[in-house]
Amino acid sequence: MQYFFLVLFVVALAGCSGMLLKPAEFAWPVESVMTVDSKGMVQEDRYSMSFSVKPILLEETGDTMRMSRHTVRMIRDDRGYYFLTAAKFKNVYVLTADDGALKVATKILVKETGLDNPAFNQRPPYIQVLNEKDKPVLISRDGIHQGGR
Amino acid sequence: MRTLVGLLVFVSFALAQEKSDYQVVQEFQVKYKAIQKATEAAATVQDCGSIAYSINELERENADYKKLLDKSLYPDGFEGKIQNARLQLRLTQDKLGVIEDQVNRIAELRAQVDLLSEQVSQLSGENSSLLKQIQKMSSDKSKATIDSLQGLISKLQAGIRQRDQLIFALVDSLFLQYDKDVASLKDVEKQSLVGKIEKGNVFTSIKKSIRDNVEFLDAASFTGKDVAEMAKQQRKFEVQWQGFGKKLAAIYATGKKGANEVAQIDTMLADWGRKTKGIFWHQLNLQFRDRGFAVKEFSSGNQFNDHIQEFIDGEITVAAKAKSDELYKRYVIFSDSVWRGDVKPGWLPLLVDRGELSDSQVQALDDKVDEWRKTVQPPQTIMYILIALVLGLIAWFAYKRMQKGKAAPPAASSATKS
Repeated sequence: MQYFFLVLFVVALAGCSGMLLKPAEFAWPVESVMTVDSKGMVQEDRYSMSFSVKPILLEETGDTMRMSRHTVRMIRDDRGYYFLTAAKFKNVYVLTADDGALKVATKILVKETGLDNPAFNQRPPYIQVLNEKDKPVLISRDGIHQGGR
Repeated sequence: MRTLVGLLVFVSFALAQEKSDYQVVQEFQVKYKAIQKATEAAATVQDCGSIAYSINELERENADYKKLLDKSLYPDGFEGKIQNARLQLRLTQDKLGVIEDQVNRIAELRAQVDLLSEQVSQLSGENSSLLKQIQKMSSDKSKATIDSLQGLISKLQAGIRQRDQLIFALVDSLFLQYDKDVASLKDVEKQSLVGKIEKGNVFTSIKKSIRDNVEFLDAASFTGKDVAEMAKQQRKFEVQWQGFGKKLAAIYATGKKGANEVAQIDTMLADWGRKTKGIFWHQLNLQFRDRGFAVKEFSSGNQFNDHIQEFIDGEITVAAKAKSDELYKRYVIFSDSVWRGDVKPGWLPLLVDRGELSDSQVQALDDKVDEWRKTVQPPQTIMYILIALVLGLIAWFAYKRMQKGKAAPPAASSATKS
């Protein structure tokens, strides 16, 4: 009887602390290229997700009037962080999933003059940022690991 | 050196890495969709062959990205997509009643055409650079330059010859995909062939080849052997073009771009032929003149025949009046170094091949040279008489000695008695 209560206690404790399912791999093999609609929303078809990029566009371009001209690029790394950028952006935004939202975890300055034609490649454990003939930049959630600025 | 190679490998690897994965996937999908569309529209065995080739190429080009494409092309993956494309093609072939082997053969020929096109353009680049070097060096007459110039000329000659062969092999591969007479091709087949001819830059390559050959003729002064080789090449090109030109003309309607190209090539080839002919006769004239034999200038096979005969007749007339060692030596130089040394082995077969001389004319010329020999050669009978005279003298001296030997003993015996 004593053991029964002990097991019950352990199970209850595990439930309360949040069980971790490890390991987990979230990497997208290839980036998604999404066009912003007039409301500032983007739709990712393969992984069935949609979200607003309006705040980021406002911050990077200072203009939310002509949003539908923009195309944003997004990729997810193996740890589950989303990386988002677009042409003319200076930064790559690292996002995490939140309650009905995507939250900016960090912002990585990649090119002070702005990216011309960026693209992401999955290079575990990093994300590679390409921009025309610039030297490729390796980034992670923690910042730049090689190249950039 | 090792470090340099390592660095180059690293740089090329780094550059190869710079391609966007998204771009790789997009390019694959664009090509895949084009193949699907072509498969739906395929109407002939040639169409099926071209599609089979495109699928092979898509597979080959993307082999390095297999892992990426497997993950990205959900749910089929890379191999699944390729298999689907092949399956769709097979269904179309069945619908059209096309034989698989025929399709594979056409796909192979398509691959050959691509390879040959690549080789032709590579050789064209190399030949242009060699031609420039030759043009630059031709003005310098130093011994070292002449030696390396000769080396470059031989190299360029081989390059041009190889490129010419590749072009005709390419045209051949194009026509072989249609295993019937050009005249009996359907309009749709003709259209497809026209597309392939244009894609393979056939006309441009042939024109470039003729232009290079003509430029080569102007680039330097050549030895007789070089010119003979160049004339041979020109003739070969002409014969090959005659075959393909007719076929090409047959698939283009008069007045269309392709028909004009055929006519233009005919004209260019005729100009090249005239130029080669001019250099050919000039160089053949020099074979005699440079060695001190005043053969009247000729610029055709008949003239060559007449003037050589006339020249030898003149030599025979002089020799018939007064034989001398000088005349015999002159004959030996003509016969050994000019006629048998260069003209007969290097030039006469070409003259016959070009239809400038007949075999009987060649034989008559050879006989004429022999007639000259008989006239100037010291007569053999004198030699026999001399030999007989020498032998007679030897026999006479021997007889005399024997006679002396018989007379000697009686004189010795009388001396003993006293």
